[in-house]
Amino acid sequence: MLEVKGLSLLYGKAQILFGVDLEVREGELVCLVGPNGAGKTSFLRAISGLVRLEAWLHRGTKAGDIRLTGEVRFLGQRIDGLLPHQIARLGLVLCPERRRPFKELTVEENLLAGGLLLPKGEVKRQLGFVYELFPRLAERRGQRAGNLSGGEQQMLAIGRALMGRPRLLAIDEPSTGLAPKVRALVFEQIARIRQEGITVLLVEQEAARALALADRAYVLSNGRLVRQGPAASLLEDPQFQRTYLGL
Amino acid sequence: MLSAILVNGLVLSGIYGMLALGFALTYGVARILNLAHTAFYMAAAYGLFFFLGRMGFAPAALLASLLVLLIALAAYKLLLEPLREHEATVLIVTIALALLLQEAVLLLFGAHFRSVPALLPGFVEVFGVRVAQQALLALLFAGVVLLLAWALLKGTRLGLGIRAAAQDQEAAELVGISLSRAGNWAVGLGAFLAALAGLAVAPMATLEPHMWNAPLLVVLAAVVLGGLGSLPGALLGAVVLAFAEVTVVNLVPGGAFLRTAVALLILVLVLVFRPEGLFGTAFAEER
Repeated sequence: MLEVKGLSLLYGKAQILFGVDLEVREGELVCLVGPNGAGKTSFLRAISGLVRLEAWLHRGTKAGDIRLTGEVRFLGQRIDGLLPHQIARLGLVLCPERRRPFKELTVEENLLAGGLLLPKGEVKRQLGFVYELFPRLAERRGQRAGNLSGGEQQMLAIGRALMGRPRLLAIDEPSTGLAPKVRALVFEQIARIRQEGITVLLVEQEAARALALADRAYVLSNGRLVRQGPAASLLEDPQFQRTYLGL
Repeated sequence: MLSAILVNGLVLSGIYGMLALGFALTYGVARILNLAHTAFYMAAAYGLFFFLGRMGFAPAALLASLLVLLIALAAYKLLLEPLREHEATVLIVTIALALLLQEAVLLLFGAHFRSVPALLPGFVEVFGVRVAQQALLALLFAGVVLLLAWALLKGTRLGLGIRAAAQDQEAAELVGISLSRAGNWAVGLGAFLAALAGLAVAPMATLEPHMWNAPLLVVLAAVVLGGLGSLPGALLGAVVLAFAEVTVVNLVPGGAFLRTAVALLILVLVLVFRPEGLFGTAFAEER
């Protein structure tokens, strides 16, 4: 479904990603783990088109000196030259780092904005699906999104991404900054989304939790892929445990 | 006195409201602080004056507003969008554009005061105040335009996309909104609103090549007061500015000279005591 080959990313002279190869097959839940600053978020920004958008918005300035090389294919089509709105329309939707709600809009308006990807007639049904998945959002539908708690904002961000009925949902650091109880809930909901038949690419710092959900995993360190394999075998590997699970 | 302030304040609120909403839209979505905004308003007024000599009011008004729309979109696509990241350059280019329009008007129509005949001549008495019927018509027109603009922004998918893009550019792209398209719409709508304000004012005001200066200060003060980037804030700011101006003009003998001073004073006070304005939090956070 998603095939990434030799993806490299440079901001000016600073290289962030070094020839990353990664694949996500239909129906899988694939997890990308690694320490802070390994390039996980940059990787998602690169495949979702945000890096291209950044380069376009800042073109002609120092901040626009961004080089992205390599190949990204989604459903067989090259997407590494596309902007995020084009990639989202193909069915690859990113739920971004720090959740990024439209703070001044209401919860429902945020979800409807996510539904701009769908034909008008299908929005209502999808909204029902998201409210069923996150009953909390239905209770708060008229509230300003900026007034939600961190956990609710995370649900809103995932719900907004789901509104576009993605084929592949990429989620960046959903548990960051949340209380332990809320984290558990968010992971439960991700498992539920997967059961709905949506393919998921999950980026997480909390590796143990993420791997418990995943089929396969990739480990990124200093911009390079250092390991990959079935999630279960990584979890049992003593060296991986020492380095990434702190055991 | 009080009723004069009320009636005239409302009429002026309508005009300033159209101007400020258009300015805030352009800034919020396309991130362009357009100092030529009220020059568009002037261009529409002169356009109306020019076309009225050749045709009826409605086609002349339509042609004048389309002309302004064309100028605005051409300037955006050719000059402003490519430079958007260089904020200082964008400001200078918009000033240059305003001066260019001013000089073009001076060249075409001279420095004489021009006027457009009222569509509805005569006066009526409202709350004991003698009001030009044309002013009431302008108020009605502004009310309808603002309601339609609000319905577009609040009630349609296009409007939702525009508001989302004004809040968070990256998140908007991630839900399938093309920033480039949203920017075109915002610039177009913004310029169109400025043109409509110019059409509403033309039959009540004298047209001269510097008529864009004072309203520009008012619009800047209104959007800064409301909070840069906030659409409801821009409307509220416009109403406050309109009533402040009308109050000073009515209460201070010979106060008409203080018009711009009022706007400047409010602008300075807001920048000193509450630089984020009334509703401007979200935008400051994002930057």
